[in-house]
Amino acid sequence: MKTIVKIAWRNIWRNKRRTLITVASIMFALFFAIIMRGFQKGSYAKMKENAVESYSGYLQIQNKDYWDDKNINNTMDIDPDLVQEFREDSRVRVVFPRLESFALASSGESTKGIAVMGIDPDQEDEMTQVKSYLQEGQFIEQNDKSILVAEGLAKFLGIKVNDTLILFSSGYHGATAAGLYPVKGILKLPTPEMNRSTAYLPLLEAQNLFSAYDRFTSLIFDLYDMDQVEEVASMVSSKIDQDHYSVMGWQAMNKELLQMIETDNAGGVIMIAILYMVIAFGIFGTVLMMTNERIREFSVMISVGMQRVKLATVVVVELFFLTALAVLAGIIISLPVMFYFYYNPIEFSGDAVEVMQDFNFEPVMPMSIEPSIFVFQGIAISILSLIAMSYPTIKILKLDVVNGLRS
Amino acid sequence: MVLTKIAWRSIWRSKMRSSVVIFAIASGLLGGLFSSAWMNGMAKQRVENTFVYETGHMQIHHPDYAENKDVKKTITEVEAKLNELSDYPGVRAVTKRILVTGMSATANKNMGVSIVGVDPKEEKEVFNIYQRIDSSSGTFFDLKKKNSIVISKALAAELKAKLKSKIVLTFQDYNGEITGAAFKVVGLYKTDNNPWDKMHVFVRNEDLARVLEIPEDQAHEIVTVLDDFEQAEFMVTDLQSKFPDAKVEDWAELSPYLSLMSGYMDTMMGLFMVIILGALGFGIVNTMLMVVLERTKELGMLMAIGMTRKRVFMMIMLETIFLALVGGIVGELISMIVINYYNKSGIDLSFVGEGMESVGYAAITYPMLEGYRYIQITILVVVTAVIASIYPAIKALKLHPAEAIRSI
Repeated sequence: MKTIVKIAWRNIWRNKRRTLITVASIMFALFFAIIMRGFQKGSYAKMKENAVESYSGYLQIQNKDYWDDKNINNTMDIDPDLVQEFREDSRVRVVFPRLESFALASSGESTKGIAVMGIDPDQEDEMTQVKSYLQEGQFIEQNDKSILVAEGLAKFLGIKVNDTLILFSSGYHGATAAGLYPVKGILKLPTPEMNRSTAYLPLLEAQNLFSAYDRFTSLIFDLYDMDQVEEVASMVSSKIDQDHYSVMGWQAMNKELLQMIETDNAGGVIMIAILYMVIAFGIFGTVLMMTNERIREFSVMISVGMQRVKLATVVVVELFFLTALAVLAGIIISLPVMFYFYYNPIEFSGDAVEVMQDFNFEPVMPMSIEPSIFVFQGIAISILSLIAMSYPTIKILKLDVVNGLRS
Repeated sequence: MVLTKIAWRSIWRSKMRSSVVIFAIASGLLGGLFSSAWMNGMAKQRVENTFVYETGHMQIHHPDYAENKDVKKTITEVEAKLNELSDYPGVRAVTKRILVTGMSATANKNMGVSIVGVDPKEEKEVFNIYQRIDSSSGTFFDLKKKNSIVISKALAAELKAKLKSKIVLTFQDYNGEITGAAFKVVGLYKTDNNPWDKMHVFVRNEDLARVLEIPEDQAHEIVTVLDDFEQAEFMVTDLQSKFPDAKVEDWAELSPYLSLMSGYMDTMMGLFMVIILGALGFGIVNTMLMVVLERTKELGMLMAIGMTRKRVFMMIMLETIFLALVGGIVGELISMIVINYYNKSGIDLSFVGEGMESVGYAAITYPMLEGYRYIQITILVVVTAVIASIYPAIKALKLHPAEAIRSI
């Protein structure tokens, strides 16, 4: 075997040019595939993270009717001791309540339907980092009777810090909900949609506004580890009254986003498949030439007593070396580019921002450096080479030596 | 002439090798063109949908209306403007709308909506929302009932409303008072753009004008559709001078992302094509290099009997271009057939439909590619072939006839 490897290694360097061109073509495809997948996976991870961290959390306990019918009458209350018990679980980072509803917000000049989020300022911030989005003014405190407005919404309503905002809606069991709130701060939220239509009230004040005393729409869990969602969910399920509450995982809550990611991902996979198809022909072409060129050489080897199987092994090992070189080279040249973009994500500017926001994408293109990207692309290329290898193997095993010597 | 003949025949001397290259080019093109056509078809559909459901081709508002959609920022003397517009050359239809943002509520819950007051007869000339109401979901104001409303199926599901349900709309009227009225659902529509659907409800403009207490002959928006949407940008200036008290905008201004999106798609398609051709280029270089090295003896012989180096160079170039052209044409023909087939039947993505429609794309897409793209691609393929053939051709130049003949 050692001899075979040695011979194979020397063989590929007998024709340096051919080796280099083949390696270059595979490397080129691999480079593009890796970079493209890196950007795609990076964007997906960012989108998921945004959806989870800035809004849904990993798990929520809700009134069992709330998800299908999000209205103020499907709110819930829960035993504080139980919440404390969840908080003490080692897998859980924070547990906090939210009261969300819809209201008509008016600045006197203009009116818009908005999402009102009643939050516990400090606990909310532990997961969503909502305080870091503050652009001007101050953040609300637990006992404030003032409101925080998203920047896009503030612009639309034409309001600034210290202006008054009128909220009008209907509350728990049909009570009228109306309130006047001074704007304490303006937030620039990361998801465009939220930035256009969200306002935050302290939880207590929101409960007052909607006459939903001590009630909330969801209890949100932030976990340390995404992989523990399942087990924590079943733990939580076992401790709550299933007749009144249900536990929602982040995947169920972000179904549309995940579907969109899947669609986009499929598009990416198709593109790479096309690229690889082209490369496969290139590899096959090379293998074909290499084999046909060396028919005479093979014939000589066989006639002086080399076993066909051994000879075929030599050729297979050659191709294996070629592929390995190409995959390594591809990974090596893509690494610096990937790391560069990983630390300096592309930020779009100008008109592109609007397009991205229209699709609810953040105008940044982060890069993922998941090892799985390299592994998968490497495997794909290797499979292609493997298929190509079958040609010389069959050719050698069936070679007509007499005619081969004459060629 | 002789050279072309020699080159052409040389290609077909080794059928296997040439077929591999031709198939590589053909399949690369098929992949590239088909995915381009797919993206292009999606973008076109999105643009067309935006026109017929959301914006029309041209809109007129009060100059400050867009700022915060204030109810008071109306266009005056609407009827005169409508008449003038409908007589304007190139205008196919025109309609006025009264707009207000507000809240829609049922006993179940309330949601923020944009309320659109329409003139049903004119509206049907301009927008196609009425075509998206299926036979079991009512009509677009066919019955002369007061306070009727048409909402989307998506919103109806949220509000738990159905046909004949009552929906209370609340909004700020012209005088700044909070006001409202109950409307009866007469139709349920569904476009391909789920978020848009949830946001827009339609009522008759006389009903809305009455509740809003808006003065006679005023509206917030005049929407125009043209015989040819691409003429919009050329008509804006002239119309703007006709209506100095209002702001005239074409579709590109109204939804900048539409023109940007086609640009973005073009860039993506171009980039993808370049990557594919780059990969093909490597394959071509490799193959042609083999061709040159394999035929050292033959080329040496040709030189020895008096073929100039320049001609040898040309011959290799020609062979490459022929190969690429054959591959290109085969690839484009197959692509055309495949694209046209799917253009008729459509590609159904409804299994991921929710994801598609949540960003405003139809679940069934129709790939399409304009004719000039094929020509573009042909040129690109030839350019790639020329670039890829330079190195092998140079190698052929450097052969010394005497040595070359002796080689095996």
